[in-house]
Amino acid sequence: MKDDNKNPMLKVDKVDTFYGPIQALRGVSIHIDKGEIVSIIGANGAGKSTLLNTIFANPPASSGDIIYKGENIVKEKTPIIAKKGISLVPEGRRIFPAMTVEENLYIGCIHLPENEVPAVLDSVYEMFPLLKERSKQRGGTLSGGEQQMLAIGRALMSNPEFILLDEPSLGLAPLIVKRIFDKLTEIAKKGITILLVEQNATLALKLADRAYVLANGEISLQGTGKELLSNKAVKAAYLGG
Amino acid sequence: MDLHIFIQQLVNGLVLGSVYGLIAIGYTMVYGIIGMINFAHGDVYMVSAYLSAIAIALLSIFGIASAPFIIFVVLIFTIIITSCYGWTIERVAYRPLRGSTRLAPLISAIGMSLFLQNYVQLSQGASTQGVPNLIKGNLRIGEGNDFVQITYAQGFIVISAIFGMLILNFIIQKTSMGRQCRATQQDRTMAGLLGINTDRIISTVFVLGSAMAALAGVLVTLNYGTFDFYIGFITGVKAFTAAVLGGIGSLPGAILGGIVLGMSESLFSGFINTDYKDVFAFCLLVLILIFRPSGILGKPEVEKV
Repeated sequence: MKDDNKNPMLKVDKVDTFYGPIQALRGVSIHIDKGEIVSIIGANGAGKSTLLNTIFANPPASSGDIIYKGENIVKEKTPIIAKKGISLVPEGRRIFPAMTVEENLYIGCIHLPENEVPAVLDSVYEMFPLLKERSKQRGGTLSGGEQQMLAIGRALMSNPEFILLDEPSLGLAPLIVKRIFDKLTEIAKKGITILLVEQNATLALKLADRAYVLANGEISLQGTGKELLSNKAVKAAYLGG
Repeated sequence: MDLHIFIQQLVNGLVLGSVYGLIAIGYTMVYGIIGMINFAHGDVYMVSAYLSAIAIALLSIFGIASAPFIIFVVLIFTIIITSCYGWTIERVAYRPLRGSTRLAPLISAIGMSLFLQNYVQLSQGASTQGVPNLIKGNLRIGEGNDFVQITYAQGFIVISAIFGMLILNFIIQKTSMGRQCRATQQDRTMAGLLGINTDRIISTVFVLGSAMAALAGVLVTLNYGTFDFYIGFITGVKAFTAAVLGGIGSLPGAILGGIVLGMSESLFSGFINTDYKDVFAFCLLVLILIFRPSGILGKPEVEKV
């Protein structure tokens, strides 16, 4: 395990988040180092998605700090955070259905200098050749797996250093899920740091360098992917015995 | 039924419809992006009529008599100042209420509408105002008493309206700003997560809508020459009807709805009864809402995942 003294890519420190009167996160602290793949697993309603959304100030944390590359972003607004080189692939993909694939991708890079756009677009098309084939098709006409690839492609368009993924396997056939996870490995190889939230714990732990288990809004366990895969409590609760 | 009267009424309807369409764009864009009916939009149109008259008066003080130059300057001046009104209205009356109940901005819009009417009445007087006719002459097609007459002012309205809509369409479809508008309309939260400043996009939509209303205001003022502080109400309601008719939230729908409404209104008044033309317009709306609730081009509310 890498130690905390190094300057991490992202450090979430004792964060509390509320939805109205309901507390969704209780003193959550995690850190992600540059180049790592970190997974967060947990049951439905444990606060996994909330944690990702809190990093994006949507909703903002009510207390605690979120330090991105040494800068405290806990008080920043969502669009400002998005400009800092963090990208989100949200739960349920949330592509823009009435816009073409290409337009969806262009929306991902509104803060990129114009002369860098063609190169980034090419690299996304290289990673997802299917998106190039369908570039003029409306996003809503794509299949679930294709939409997921579009959502990942859109997140990559801002040339991010750090990408957050919320349940990329949601509602997809196992074969497609495998293809998506292969792409994540490919993305990590490019040096992009990944924070992955998943219900599919086996896959997530296999992919991850390190992982956290979130239960009832608190971090209950942490360790390397391998450690957690063989951990009895994790096995019983999340890996189906 | 005389053919020349029929064609004449179609021409008149097209002119009226283009004006409705231009104003309907403002309703439909604002509804599309924040799901709110901006009841003050008709009064923004009214303000633009006054602004164009002020611009014409200022130019005549400086002794400028060239009609094309006057029209050009009046258009630019009115569109810019009216856009500022639209921006300010959103900033003052709607943005502070974002995130509150759905009805709050609606009430605020009605208040803003009353405010604008009274503000113009107090500052400009309650009497009907007028401007000189700048575009003279007409084109007659046909012989004897059976002719179709198109005034150059009418032609100017239709051509300018088409031109304005083409520019708007270009902005919405082809520019990065337009893409951001559409993204914000489809999923505001996601747009924010991608770094789009959605508050600024909403302001932009108000500015674009007001600019279209300003274009309509100038065109109507140039064609009819008279207006008062109350014209925003009935024209606004008609344009809103056009937006609903075409399918609220849809840009082509607003234009189509405007033209359908304008043509049916003028055909009705040409062949049946002038006094009941408004009744007919609203009956048409009721019928369309019964048989096609989402309007001519509107899509039923898409379920979001």
